[in-house]
Amino acid sequence: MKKYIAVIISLIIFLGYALSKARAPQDNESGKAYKFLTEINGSEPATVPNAYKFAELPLVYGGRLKPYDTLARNSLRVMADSEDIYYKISDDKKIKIPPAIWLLDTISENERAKKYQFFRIYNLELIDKLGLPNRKSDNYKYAPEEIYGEHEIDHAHGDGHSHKTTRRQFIMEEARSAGDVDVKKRNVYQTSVLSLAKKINLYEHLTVSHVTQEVPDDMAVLSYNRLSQFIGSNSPRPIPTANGEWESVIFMNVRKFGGEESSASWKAMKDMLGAWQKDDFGAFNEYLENFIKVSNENIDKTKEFLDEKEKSINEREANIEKELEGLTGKELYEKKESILTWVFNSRSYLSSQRDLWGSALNKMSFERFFNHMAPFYLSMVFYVMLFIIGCFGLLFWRPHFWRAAIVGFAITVLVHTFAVWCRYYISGYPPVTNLYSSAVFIGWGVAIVGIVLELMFKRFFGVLVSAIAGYICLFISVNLSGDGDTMGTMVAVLDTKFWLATHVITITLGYTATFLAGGIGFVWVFAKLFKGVSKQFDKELNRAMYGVICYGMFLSFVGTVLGGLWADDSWGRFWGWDPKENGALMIVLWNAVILHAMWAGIIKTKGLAALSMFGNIVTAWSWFGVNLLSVGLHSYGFTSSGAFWLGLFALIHLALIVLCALPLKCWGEYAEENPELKKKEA
Amino acid sequence: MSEPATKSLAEKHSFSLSILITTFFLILPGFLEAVSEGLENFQTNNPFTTFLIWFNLWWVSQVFVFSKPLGGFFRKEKLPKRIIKSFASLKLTVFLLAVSLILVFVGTLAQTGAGIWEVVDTYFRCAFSRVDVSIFVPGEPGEKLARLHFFFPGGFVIGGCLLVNLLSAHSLKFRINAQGARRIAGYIVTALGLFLIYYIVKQGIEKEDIPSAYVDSYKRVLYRLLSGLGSTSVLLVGCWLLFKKRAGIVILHFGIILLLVAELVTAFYATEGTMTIAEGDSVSYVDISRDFELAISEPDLPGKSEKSITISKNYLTDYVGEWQTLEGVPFQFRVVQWFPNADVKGRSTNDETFNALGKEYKLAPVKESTGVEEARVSLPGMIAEFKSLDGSKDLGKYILSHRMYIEKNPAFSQDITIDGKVKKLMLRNRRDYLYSMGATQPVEVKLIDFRHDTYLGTSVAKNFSSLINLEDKEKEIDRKVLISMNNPLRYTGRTFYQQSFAPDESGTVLQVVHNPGWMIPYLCCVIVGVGMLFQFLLTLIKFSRRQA
Repeated sequence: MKKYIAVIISLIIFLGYALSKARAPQDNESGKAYKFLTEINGSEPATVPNAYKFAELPLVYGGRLKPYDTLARNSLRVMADSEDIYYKISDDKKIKIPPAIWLLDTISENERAKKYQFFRIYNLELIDKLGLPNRKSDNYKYAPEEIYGEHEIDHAHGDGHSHKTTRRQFIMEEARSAGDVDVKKRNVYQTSVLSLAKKINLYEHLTVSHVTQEVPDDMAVLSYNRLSQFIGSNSPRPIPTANGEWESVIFMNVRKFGGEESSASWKAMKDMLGAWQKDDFGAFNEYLENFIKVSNENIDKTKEFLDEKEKSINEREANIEKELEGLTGKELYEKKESILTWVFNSRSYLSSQRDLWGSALNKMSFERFFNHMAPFYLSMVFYVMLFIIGCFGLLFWRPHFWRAAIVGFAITVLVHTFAVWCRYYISGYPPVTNLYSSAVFIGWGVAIVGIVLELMFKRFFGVLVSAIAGYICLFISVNLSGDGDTMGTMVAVLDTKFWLATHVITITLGYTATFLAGGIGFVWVFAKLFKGVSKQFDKELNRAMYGVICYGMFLSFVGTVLGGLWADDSWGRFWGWDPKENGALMIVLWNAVILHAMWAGIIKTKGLAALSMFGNIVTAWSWFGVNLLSVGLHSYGFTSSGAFWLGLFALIHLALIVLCALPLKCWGEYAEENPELKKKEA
Repeated sequence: MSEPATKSLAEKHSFSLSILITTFFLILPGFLEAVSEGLENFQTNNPFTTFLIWFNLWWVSQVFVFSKPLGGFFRKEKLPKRIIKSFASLKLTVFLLAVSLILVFVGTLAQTGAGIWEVVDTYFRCAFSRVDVSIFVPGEPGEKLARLHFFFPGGFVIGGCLLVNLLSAHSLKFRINAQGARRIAGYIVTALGLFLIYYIVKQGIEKEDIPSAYVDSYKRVLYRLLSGLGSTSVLLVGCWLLFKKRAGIVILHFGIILLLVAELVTAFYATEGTMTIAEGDSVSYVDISRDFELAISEPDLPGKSEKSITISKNYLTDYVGEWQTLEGVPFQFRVVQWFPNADVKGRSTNDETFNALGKEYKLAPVKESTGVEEARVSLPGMIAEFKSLDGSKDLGKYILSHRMYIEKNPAFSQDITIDGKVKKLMLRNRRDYLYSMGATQPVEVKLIDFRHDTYLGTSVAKNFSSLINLEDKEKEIDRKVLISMNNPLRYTGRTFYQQSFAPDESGTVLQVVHNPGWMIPYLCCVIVGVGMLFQFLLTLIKFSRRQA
C-alpha cells in the first residue's frame, strides 16, 4: 500500500488540475461575466447577459470560420501580448474579465470600452514622447481613452518646424516615416512605433467593421469613401446571408446605398449591439436569440443549396456513360474531358464552400472550450512540475518520486497529445503547418520518446530532458503566436494534407530526436560533473543516445527526401539547394557523422554526448536559423530577437562541447573506481 | 582498452593531423593570392591561382591516401592493399561527412549575397569552391573583407571522395559470405531487384503520364513509392541472401550512391524553362531559363514553330568584337559589347548611329542580380552590328535586350531588312520546342482558362490552376488538362507545373522541367529508408534480447 501513496498523490494533483480546466464556464452559472457586472455597477444585474453564447457565434476572418471568442483572444494577443484583460475599477482594484465581454464592449462602443488597458508599448522613449504615464506595473499597457484622448503633442519635424497633433496622429505620422526606413536599419523606437500603429489599426478595424449607426442618405458618398477600406474584403464577417455569403456588419450597413433592403440578420445584429451598448441585457439576450435563429435559417438554406449542388455533381458523374452515348472518336474524348473538368471545378467550389458552411460551424463551442482550457499552457505548467519532481527524485526518496513522476508524465503526455489533437480537429490540417505548430509538435515528440526512455531505463533522465525540452518548445511557441491566429490559412502550395502529414511530420520528428539526443548529452555532462557516473549508467546513456540518433537519422533522412519529392511533384526540382533544404541535409549529415564516428571508434560516450549537443545547434539552425537569412522559399516570418536567442543557445552548447574536449581523466573517475561514489549510486 | 605502446605520436593523432594539414593548405592559397595580387585588383583566372588549386588537389589526395598518414604507410602490407585500406577508412568517412556539412552550411550562407544558381555552380556543382570570408560577417564590416577568401573542396570532390571511400569500404569489409545454392539464389534475386529498379527509372522517362483532373496527387506519389517498395523488397531479399545481417547497410549505401547519381544527372542533363501563355493563345515551345539566343524571324508567325534563324549564346559572348559568318545565316554580324545584366534606359539625346530603338534607348549595365534583390534573374543585353554576307552593305547597329523580349511590349519590337525582306530581331531565351520522341510536329499547348482562388476575406492564395488544351497531332491527342498547384502534367518527357501568372490574371506561367533522372529519388527514398529500418531494427532486436 505504501508503494502507491506517491502514485495517488501525483494522480490527484495532475489529473485534478487538468480536469478543473476541462470545462468552459457557461452563462447560467454566476460566473465571471456575472461577477464582473455586479462589481462594476455595485449591484447585481437584473438579467445575466448570454455573453458566452455570443462568444460562440461564428464568423469568417482570416480565411476560416472561428468563434467571436477566438477573435477576441487573438486580437488581444496582438495588442496586449496576452489574452488576459483587466478592467480597472479603481486605482488599486482591477478585475479580470472574459475576452468576449471586452470585445462586445469594444464593438458596441459601450462606455466601458475606453477604459480597458491593452495597447502595449515597448519603448520608453515613445511613451515619453506621447506624454503617457510610465506604467511599469501594468506592463506598459494603455487604454483607448489615452491613445485617443484630447492630449496635444508638439510634433517637431527634422526640418525645424513643428505642429500640434493628437497622440493618435503623432503615432501614425511617426509610423509612416519609420515605415520608409529599410527593415534592417530600423532602430528600437521605429520598430515599436510601427508595432503600436499596427495595434491601433487592428483596433480600429474591429470597431469600424462593426459600425451599426445609420448613415444619413446625404452623407452616403462621403461615408462610403471614408469607410471603404473597412468594407473591403478583410473584415470579420459574422453575418450569414440568405444567398449563401458571409458578410461583415459594415458591409451590410452600407449596402443600402446600392438600393438594397437591409436583411433580417443584419437588423438582429444591429439591435443586439445596440442593446449591449446601453447595458440592456434583457433586450440583448432576446436579440441574440433572434440573430441566432435568423442565422441558422440562412445557414440551413445554404447547406440545402450545397447538398443539391453535390447531388447534381454526383448524378452527372454517375450518369457519364448515358451522356456519352452515341458519341465516338474525338467527340467522345472531348465531351468526356469537359464533363470531368466540370466535375472537378464544381467539386473544388463545393469543397471550399463546405469549409465555410459545413461541420466547422459545429466546432464553435469546442473552440471556445479549447481556448478556455488552453491545454498547451497546462502542459507547460506540468512540465515545470515534472522537472521539480525529477530533481527531488535525484536527491531523495528515489522510488517514490519516480512513481509520482511517471504518473504525472503520463498525464502530461495525454494533455499535450489532446492539445495537438484539438488543433487538428479544429483546423482540419495535420498537426504541423507553421513555425508555431512545429514548436508545439517538437515538444510533444520529445515527451513521447522521453516517456519510452524513462520506462526503459528508469533513471529520471527521460523525465528531466522531456520536461526541459517540452517547456522550452512550448515557451517558444507562445512567443511565436504574437501574430494572432495560429491556425491561419495555408497558401496554395502548402495546401496539401498528404505532404503535410508525411514530409512535415517526419522532418519535425527528426528534429525531435536530435534535440532529445542532445538533451541526453547534457544529462551525461551534468551527471559526470556533479554526481559521478557508474559504468553501467554511462553505458545506458550511450545506448539511449545511440538509439535516439538512429531513430532521428531515419526520420530526418526520409523526411528530407520526402521534402525533395514534394518539391519534385510540385515544381519539378527534387533538390534546389534552398536554405531550408540545406538545413535538413545538415541534420542528416551530422547524424551520419555521429554514427560513423561511433562505428569507427573515434568517440566513446563523452564524444557521443559532445557531438549530440552539437546536433542541437545544427537542428536549431535548420529550424530557425535559416529563416534569419530571409532568402529562399521557406523563409516565413521570424524576428531579429530570435537571432539573439539562437546565438545564446549556440554559445551555451559550444561552451559545454569545449568542456567535453578535455580528456576523460579531467572528468573524474567512474563510480566503480571510487568507493564513495559507488555507495551513493547504490 | 589500452593502446599498444608501440604507436608513434603521429600515428596516434593521425586523424587530427590530417584535418589540420588539409585545412591549412586549403586556406593558405586564398591568403597568398590576396597578398601577392593586392586586395584591389586580382583575378581568379591567373596561372598562379590555377597552380594553387592543383597544388591543393594534390595535397588533399595525399592526405586522403594517408588518412592514417604516417603510421599506415610503414606497416608491412603490400602497397595496393595499403592504399585501398586507407581509402576505406571509416575515419575518412567521418572527415568527408563533416567537410560536406561545412560546405552545405557555407553554401547556405553564400545565398545571402549571391543568386541561388551562382551558388549552386560555384559551391556545390564544382570541384573546388572559392569561399568569400565576407559571407560570415554580415553588414558593412563584411564588405571590407570582400577580397578575402579561401578554397574549399566543392561538391564534386567531396562526392567523388565519398564514393571512392564507400566503394573501397564495401570491397574490403562487406564480403559475400554465402555459399552454394544460397549464393547463386542471392545473385539471381539481387540482379532481378536491380533490373526492376532500372525498369522503373526507364518507365519514368518513357511513359507519358497525363494526369486527369480527378486524380488525387497523393495517389500518384504513393504509387511511385510503392513501386519502389516492391523492387526494394526484392533487392533486400537478394542482399540478405548474399550479405546476411549486413544487407541493410549494403542497400542503404546503394541508395545513397543512386541519389548522388540522380543529382549528377540533374546537374548535367536537366533543363528548366517557362511557358508564358495568355488566355486563348497557343504556345509550342519552352523558354529555357538562363540560356539565350539571337533570333531573326518572320514577323507574322508569333509563337508558332516559325521559320527563324537563331544564333546561340556562345557565339554572342565568346567572340565579342569579331565579325562572324555562320553557316545558314544570311549576313555577317559583330557583337560590339555584351552585358551580362543590363537595364534599358532612355537617352537624353538621340544617337543616330543606331538603328530602330537604339536611337532613343541605351543599355545601362547592372550588377548581376543576387538572391536577395527583387529581380531574381539577370537580363542580358548587347550592342550588335550587322552587314550583308559580301560585306558591301551595312545593315545597321542595334541594341538588343532580353528585357525587351520578356516584357512582350510591341513598342520594343525591332525590324531588320535582309535581302529586301523585313524581319524581326530578338534577344530571347533559347527555345525548346515540345517534340514528343521521334515526332516531327511539336505539341501545342493552349490556355483555355486560368483560375486564381483566394480564401474568403483574405488575399491568401487557395489555389492556382490552368485549364489547358493539349494537342499532339502526331499521336492524335487533343484534350483538356487541368494543371494546378501540386498537380503537374507530365508529357513529352517534360513536366509542366503551375508556377505563376500574368499580373492581371489574363495568362499563366508554367514551369517546364526536363529531367531524365526524375524518378530516381523516389526509389532512393524507399531503398535507403528500408535499408535503415532493417539495420536499426536488427540492432534493436539484439539490444532487447540482451536486456531480456
